[in-house]
Amino acid sequence: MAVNDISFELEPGITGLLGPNGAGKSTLLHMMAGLLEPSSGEVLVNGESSWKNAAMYGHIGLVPEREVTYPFLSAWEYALASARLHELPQPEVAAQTAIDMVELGDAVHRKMSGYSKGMRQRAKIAAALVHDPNILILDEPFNGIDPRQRLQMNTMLKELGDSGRTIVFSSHILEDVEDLAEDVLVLIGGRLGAAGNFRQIRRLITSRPHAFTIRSSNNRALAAALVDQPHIALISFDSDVMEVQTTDFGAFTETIAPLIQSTGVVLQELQPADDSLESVFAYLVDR
Amino acid sequence: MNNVLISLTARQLLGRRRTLVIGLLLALPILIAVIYRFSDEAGSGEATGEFALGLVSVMIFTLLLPLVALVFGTASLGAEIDDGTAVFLLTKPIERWRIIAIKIGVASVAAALFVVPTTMATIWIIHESPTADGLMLGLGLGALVASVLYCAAFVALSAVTSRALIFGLIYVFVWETFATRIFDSLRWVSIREYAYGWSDAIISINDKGVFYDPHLGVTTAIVGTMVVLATACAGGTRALTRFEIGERA
Repeated sequence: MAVNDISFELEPGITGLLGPNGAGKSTLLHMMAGLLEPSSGEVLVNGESSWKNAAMYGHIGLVPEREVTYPFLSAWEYALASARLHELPQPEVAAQTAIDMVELGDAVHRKMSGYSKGMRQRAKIAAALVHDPNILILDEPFNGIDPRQRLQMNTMLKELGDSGRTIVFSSHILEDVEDLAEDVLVLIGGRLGAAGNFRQIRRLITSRPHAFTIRSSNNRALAAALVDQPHIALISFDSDVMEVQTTDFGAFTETIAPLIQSTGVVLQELQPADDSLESVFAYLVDR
Repeated sequence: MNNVLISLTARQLLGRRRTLVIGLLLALPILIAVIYRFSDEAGSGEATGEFALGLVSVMIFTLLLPLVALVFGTASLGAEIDDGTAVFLLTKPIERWRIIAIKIGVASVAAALFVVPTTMATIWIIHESPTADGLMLGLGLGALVASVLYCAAFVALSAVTSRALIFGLIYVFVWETFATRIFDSLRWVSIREYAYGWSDAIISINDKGVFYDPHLGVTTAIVGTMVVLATACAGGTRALTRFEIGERA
């Protein structure tokens, strides 16, 4: 997925890159990691271009989404190989420190071919942390891991963020970002939809207009009652279905039931018209 | 750092199934050599030398050696790019020329370890005086040179394209096997001919038969060898420096 017209600066702490699948999150992270060349503009990491800059990897750690582990190595061997490739002065100590951070327990000396996805994810994180990078890039780190592992990873990433590192991770799940990131970049269709503090963006998402489709025994009578409500922005009809747009999700859900009762119509169907994450992101971009 | 790169490449390359298949394929010329040795035609004369040259040329230099090098050469880097493990290496502060050089080195050693002993053993079994006329040494040297050059070319090719295996097969079986036989001048751009050039500097047999048919002198072969190695290292390094993950991995 191509990305266009994106400009931002990351500070120490945790930044979440949020967007639906195919929004260009991996493309953006790969550019930051020097694995894709921007066709225009530039990506600077620690003030240097990330493209064709192998020396940069001494300061950044990348945890790609795709499985990149050698199945014949154990997590310990993998972290140690990473430490040796970084030419660290004490590779065993560095590997042990990184392995301790990801809590792999007894599995650390087992071959990674027998690991679960979550265990492989943690082995990849250990290998990415072995040289104590000040920038950590994680592409969909929560994919395929169970709630306990998610909690562990959240705690670990929070500690890393609190220690002054710049951490950026991508996710298509709002709650992943909500749990972890102070700052958020919302990406959709290869463009930056919103950027800033997570609470501000969450507020925007919550206060966006919501649409519902309603099917009842008398749509016209129900529409006449609804149109007097201050939170109703739009009512439209399509054969036997009525679509209602509200600016206040809470007020709508509180008033709709008494209104239906008072008008005496029989409700046959009431459902959100489009509450997908894509529509939420699209709203942020169009706003 | 180099040891880790060598170890990871070798372990990735020498998987049990791959080595077993290659070992079985390379048993074929040895089997034919054994059958010949027990036939009435076996001996130490020029006819035996001619048969040895023919068998090694057709079965090893034309068929098996390029295939083995193609497997090791493309697996050394191309397989890592395809399965994503190359990202582990490419996100380390390692000079790209070093990665290419080690990939070429490991693939070459692996191919040579299979092909050179097979070549020499084939001659040793067929010929009662295998060291006579420089047969065993000459063909062994040719197999070594060919292993290194093919692997260098195929490692570089796999850094450039994800279809290295297909292009490699076309090069070996269309360019080297047919095109160079139809147009003599194309032999100047043939790894097999460079290998023959090295062999022929040592082999002193008079009647070389129709299959072993070297056209280049040793000087040309040495220059060709240098050009292939330099081009492979430079081209592979350039491709790896500009490697973009979205395209391949």
